[in-house]
Amino acid sequence: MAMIRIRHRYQIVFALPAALLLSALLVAGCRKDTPNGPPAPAGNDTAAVPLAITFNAVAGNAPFLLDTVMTTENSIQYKVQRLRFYVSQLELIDSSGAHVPVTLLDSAMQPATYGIALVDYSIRGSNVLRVLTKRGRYNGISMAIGVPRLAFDGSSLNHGDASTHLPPLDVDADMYWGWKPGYIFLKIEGFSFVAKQWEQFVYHIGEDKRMMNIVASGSVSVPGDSTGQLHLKANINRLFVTPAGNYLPNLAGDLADRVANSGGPADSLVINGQKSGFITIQQ
Amino acid sequence: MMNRRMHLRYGRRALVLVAACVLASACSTSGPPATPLIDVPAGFPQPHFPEDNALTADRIALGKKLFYDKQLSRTSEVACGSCHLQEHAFADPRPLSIGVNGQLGKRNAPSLANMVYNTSYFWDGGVPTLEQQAIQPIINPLEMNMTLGEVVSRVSADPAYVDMFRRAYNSEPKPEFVTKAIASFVRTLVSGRSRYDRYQQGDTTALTASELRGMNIFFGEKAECFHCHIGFNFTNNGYRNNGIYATYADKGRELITEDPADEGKFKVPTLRNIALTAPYMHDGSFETLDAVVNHYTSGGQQNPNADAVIRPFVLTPQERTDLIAFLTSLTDEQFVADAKFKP
Ligand code: HEC
Ligand code: HEC
Repeated sequence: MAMIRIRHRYQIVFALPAALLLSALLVAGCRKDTPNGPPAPAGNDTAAVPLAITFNAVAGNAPFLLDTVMTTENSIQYKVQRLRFYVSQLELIDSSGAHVPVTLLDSAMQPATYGIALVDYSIRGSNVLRVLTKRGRYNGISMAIGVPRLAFDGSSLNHGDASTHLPPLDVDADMYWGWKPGYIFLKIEGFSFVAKQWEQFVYHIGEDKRMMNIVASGSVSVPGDSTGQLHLKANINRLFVTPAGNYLPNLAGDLADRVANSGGPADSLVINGQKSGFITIQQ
Repeated sequence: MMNRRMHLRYGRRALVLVAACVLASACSTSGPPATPLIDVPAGFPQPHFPEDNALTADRIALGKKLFYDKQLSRTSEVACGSCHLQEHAFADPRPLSIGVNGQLGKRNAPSLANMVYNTSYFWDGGVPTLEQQAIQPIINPLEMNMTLGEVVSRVSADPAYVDMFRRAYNSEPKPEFVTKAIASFVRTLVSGRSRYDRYQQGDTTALTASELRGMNIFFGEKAECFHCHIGFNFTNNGYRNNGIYATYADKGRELITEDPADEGKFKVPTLRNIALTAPYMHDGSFETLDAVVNHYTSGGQQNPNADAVIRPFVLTPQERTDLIAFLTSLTDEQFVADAKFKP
């Protein structure tokens, strides 16, 4: 992704924590704090350390692959052409239940401008998020699938002028609704086998009220070195099962069930994403 | 406290901006420029401009060039000006617009007159600023089917453009300045010099007897047009269901609010230059003003969201002629001939 920005490049990951801590000291006092300021990962006891968070997509027990036939839990065959979602507001949950912010890094290992990553299964490696956080043992992770209404500096983000935004929120990321100002948080498009033939499905989920707030519980350990890894399972099949065990939205339903950017199908996808175990910690 | 680089980035950006202001003296937001960039018609309010996109002559010039440039479409067949024609007050005479590769759009392209006074854009009011509006036709697969990146790379290949971007925004071409420049040009499309306006300014001979009678019908309690088409721009800027269908294929405002009570509601359009902007309504389904008047006198189609003000009334043949004559007096000949809006 071509990003136009002025900055120094640190090539070595190991240099980052120290450099960041130093810079924190240097700018302390001159930074005008905003209510939504970028998360400060380092405690005063330890420097920020790297952690790689991988979203491994699966369809039930099968690996998830684009353009490949997979089967939902109620035996509907489907294949996905596009699967993309924005991940924001990443936090680790410590043993006291407190949320510890993490600093998301961009592909150049710099703090990501908006604290948001775009996971796009057609782009190799985009499902691995690199963050800085405090070393330690945690009991879970929380995140949002979506674009927050406001940026760190308090300016409009989800509904701001997208032509001024940098990647991953640039218009050309193809996650922006132009007919209304806002981002598609999660896009899943493909074909499902309906009444003996393949029919298209297109779900575009967005709007502030559809931020998918996800908490995944399980032990996470962040060692003090560069080897920190957290593997998350993104089970696409769980997006199509409600917490009560119904199959909604109905991938084999009629057009209104299969093509939606609002209403019942969109709301179901959000609830399922939050409550049906879409994202879990893989041990 | 951690993001030193972010700071640096913003810090330098601010510096660059300051430099840009000095160079282009484009940042003054106080007071109108010496020669007004918009010749505000008598009786019109002063328009407002966004703080981060003050109007300058260089920005307007760049915006106009982009507005008429077919390179902004994937196939280089379609410009903004292909669907928004000056002789039609920047509306499209086709019921539905046609984009790249002959694709048919979903709605009728409205007039772009007086956009600077609007608070929302598109028939369903989905978009709040002209900068954001400019993104949509460019990326819409049915219209120009482009990416902003490709627009930027095409204009960057043209030294004349590079120079204009530098003068307008003290920057190389970037998506942000493509949309800002286009919005600047669109803001200048102000129309308010019809015979009706001359009458308003005290020229009692500006309207014919028939047009005057039509004006009274328009503003009277029988036709009740003024309930929605009101004020200097003949719109209350609201969303109403004027009962053109019993059930709407295009849900209108509901697409934005997701509220079924907004089904079939569309932005109340201006009626300025209405004689030039046929066909009418969001889908271009009414070919003539006569058909529109027939619709209103009939009371329209019953539907749960139809506005209570829309109900049958009777016009004599003469009254019908007069009402249409009045609508025709809203044409601003100077606007559609104005050389400063031409390519
Ligand atoms: C293919 C035809 C087409 C092209 C090209 C096109 N438009 Fe439009 N324009 C339309 C249609 C149709 C609408 C109404 C769409 C809607 O309401 O959903 C519209 C609406 C608008 C509006 C909102 C009007 C209102 O009353 O709210 C503006 C402003 C506008 N266009 C400007 C532009 C600009 C600037 C460009 C070039 C970047 C452009 N258009 C390119 C067809 C087109
Ligand atoms: C309840 C509000 C309301 C009233 C009253 C009303 N209109 Fe409208 N008018 C609208 C709306 C909303 C539209 C756009 C509807 C659509 O596109 O589906 C419209 C569209 C029009 C159009 C087409 C404009 C265009 O650019 O396509 C004309 C002409 C018009 N009205 C004339 C009149 C006249 C004449 C009267 C009085 C007889 C009248 N209107 C009364 C709300 C109203």
